[in-house]
Amino acid sequence: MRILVVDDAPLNLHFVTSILHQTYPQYEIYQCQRPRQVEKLVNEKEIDVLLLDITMPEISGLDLLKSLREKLSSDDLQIIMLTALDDDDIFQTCYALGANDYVKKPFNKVELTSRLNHAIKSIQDQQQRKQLIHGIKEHNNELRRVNMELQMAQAALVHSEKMAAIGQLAAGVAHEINNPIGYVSSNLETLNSYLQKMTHYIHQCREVQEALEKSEHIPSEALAVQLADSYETQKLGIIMEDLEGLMADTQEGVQRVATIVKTMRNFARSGDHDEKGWVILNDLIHQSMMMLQNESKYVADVIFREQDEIEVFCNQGQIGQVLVNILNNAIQAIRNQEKPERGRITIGLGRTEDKANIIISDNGPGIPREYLSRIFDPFFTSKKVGDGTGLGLSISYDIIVNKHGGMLAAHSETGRGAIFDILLPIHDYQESEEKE
Amino acid sequence: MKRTLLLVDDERQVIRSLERLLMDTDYRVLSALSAQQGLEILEKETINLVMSDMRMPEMDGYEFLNIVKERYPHVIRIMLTGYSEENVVLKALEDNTVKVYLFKPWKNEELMETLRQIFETYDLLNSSQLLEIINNASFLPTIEDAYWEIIRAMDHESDLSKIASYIEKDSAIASKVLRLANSAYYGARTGSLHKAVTYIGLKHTRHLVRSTAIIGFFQGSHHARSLMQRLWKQAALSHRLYHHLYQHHLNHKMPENNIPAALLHNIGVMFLLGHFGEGYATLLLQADEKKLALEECERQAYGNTHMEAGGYLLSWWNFPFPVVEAALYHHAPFDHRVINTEVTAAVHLVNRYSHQLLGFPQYDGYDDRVFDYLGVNQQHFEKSLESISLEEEA
Repeated sequence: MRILVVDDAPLNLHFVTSILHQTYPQYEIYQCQRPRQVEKLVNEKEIDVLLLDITMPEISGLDLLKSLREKLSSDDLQIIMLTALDDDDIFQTCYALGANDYVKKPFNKVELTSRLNHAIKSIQDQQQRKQLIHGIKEHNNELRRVNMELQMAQAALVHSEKMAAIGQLAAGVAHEINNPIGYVSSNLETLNSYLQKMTHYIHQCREVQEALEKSEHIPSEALAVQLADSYETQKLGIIMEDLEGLMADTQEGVQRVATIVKTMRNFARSGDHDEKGWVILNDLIHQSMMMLQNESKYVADVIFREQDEIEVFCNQGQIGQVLVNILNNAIQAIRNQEKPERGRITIGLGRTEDKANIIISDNGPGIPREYLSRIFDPFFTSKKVGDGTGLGLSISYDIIVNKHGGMLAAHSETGRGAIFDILLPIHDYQESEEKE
Repeated sequence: MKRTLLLVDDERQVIRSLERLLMDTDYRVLSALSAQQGLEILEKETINLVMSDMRMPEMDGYEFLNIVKERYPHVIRIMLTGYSEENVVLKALEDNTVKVYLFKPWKNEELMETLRQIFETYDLLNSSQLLEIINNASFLPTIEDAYWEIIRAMDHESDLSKIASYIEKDSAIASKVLRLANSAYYGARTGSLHKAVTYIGLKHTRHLVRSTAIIGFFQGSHHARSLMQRLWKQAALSHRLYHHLYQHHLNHKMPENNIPAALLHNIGVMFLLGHFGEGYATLLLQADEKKLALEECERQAYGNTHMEAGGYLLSWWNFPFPVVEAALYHHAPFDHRVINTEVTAAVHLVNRYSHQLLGFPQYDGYDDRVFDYLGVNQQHFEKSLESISLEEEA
């Protein structure tokens, strides 16, 4: 605590200063006789409490008070006026100009010190408050930072869940691509060997042709036999029959691969950003079914009951992710049952007023009631450790409800399959909120 | 002799592409679009070889070929598979459900070559004189009978220490397994079977128990004890050198299915010794002295060689096909019939050096090309053998 006493009368100065030294040996006490030096001193020494005489030559205490207050707020400096005057107006002026208090001369030690204590306490309170505010600001910054990190972590988890899901499907998709590539490549090799045989035969024909042109006496039957032999040995009869089928198979195989790659591209795209656009849900559902074809084809029939074409403003990658997630869950559930009969998954698409409705239902084992309320919780899973992240449905929920303003609900009973009900607003839900 | 192939795949185009490629051959080709259809055909027709896809609806390739193995054990079983099924394929190889697997997409010529090779190998294995000898060998063990308790423990138990205690009940097997398991250590040694088994793991232990059970059986016979002992030493050292080769000279891990390859490659000799006793022992010693090719002598005397005997036995006991090839072709690793050349080359190499290190008479025609094939420097390898101490081979 630093205290400055200002009085042009040396006796007064000395008197006050000695009281202060006595009473507050732990504080720094400064004195000043010359009013012009006060401002400089206040700044240099970082004065906390100023005891200021009013009547002074050169600059009066009041002027000094005004000048100081113009430059400093009352938080930083407590000013106590010292005055011999007894004028209420003066006191009012003092307060108006920003003085904190006054002490009348002649000084009463008790009064002086109690006023000073009061001022000192004020300063201390200010300091405490400043510290508190500073502490809260820091704390806020920390919280803000942690919040950002959490958001980033969430984004990373969502992304890694998507990658994990893609990875899971990748094996199935790789097989889907591998098979057609297998027979396409084999057929091309076979075609090559066919071509060699055909070339051989064509050469023979040319030779026969040349021989005929020279019209030497080579019996035509001999030539005919030569050609017929060649045709037989090169198995051209079989080849000619097979050519069309070979080309059809090969082209179909290439087409299959192209479709699969296109579907995968659609899913790899976007989803990470929140951009929305108009999406035909029918196509998206077909693509999801195709993505999972390799998973489903051995365990269940997947049927899509579509009537009208329904278009919705949404993020294609994200909604696709939701569909794949729910469909895949149904397929896995049916597969894990290990029943000999094929399971059945039905997808329905409809529209009510301003919402699109997708229903995915299966005749799998169903979800026990005690789990049903928790399936959308993050990390909740009934699978074994290491199998899946348990995030799929919670992310799906987040996508449908938070990012699209829709609804996602599950209905199920043990032994009676499950129904997943998705409602999606057709128009951008943020816009419609603003309209409201 | 016209051979009949059965192709099984749920995709028509795959079947058609295979039929096209087989068009030029002498094989009779039948096809099925499902495992069930395949089984129906097998009931009605005599099939020599089945080539099946893995992923099929209702019954998959593994299940299907397992049934084929049980009902028609003489049908050669091949799987044509996509990359995503690697785990299942390795398992199928290990229990001999599948003899050879091919990847999709395949190269036409390679596929044809594999079919040729495997048919030729099976012709060799099925040559009639051998069958007769073996079927008449009254003492021919089924390994599961002889050591059923240990095998059963290994099937039901996953706790390696419990398995170790089962093995310890049979001291003959235990000491062999311990010695062989130590080969897998980087030169270190442990006296504890429990430790050794924990180190090498369940699969490896299983292989060792089966193999030592077979060897132990032949050793138990009363003929030519010292010769048998010599054969066991050579087998154990081969096994050790095989590990050494993979650990220090080859850039990749030893395929688990091939673990018994070096250990059992000369099982044919043990069999012939066990069956023909002193007669065969004399033949062996004569061949050594007069520097004759052993195979010639064997063929003259019995119609078949120890390699063929060994190969047939191992195939009969359902060892993985590479192990069968190791027995059949360890003297001719680059024979045109060989499919798994890495195994035959490696076993050829360790066979040579195990004989050398033990001071046994050497076979003459070793093929140095194995070094290049495996990517191993010969001098380097020979130098590294100096670190192999032979104390425990006593």
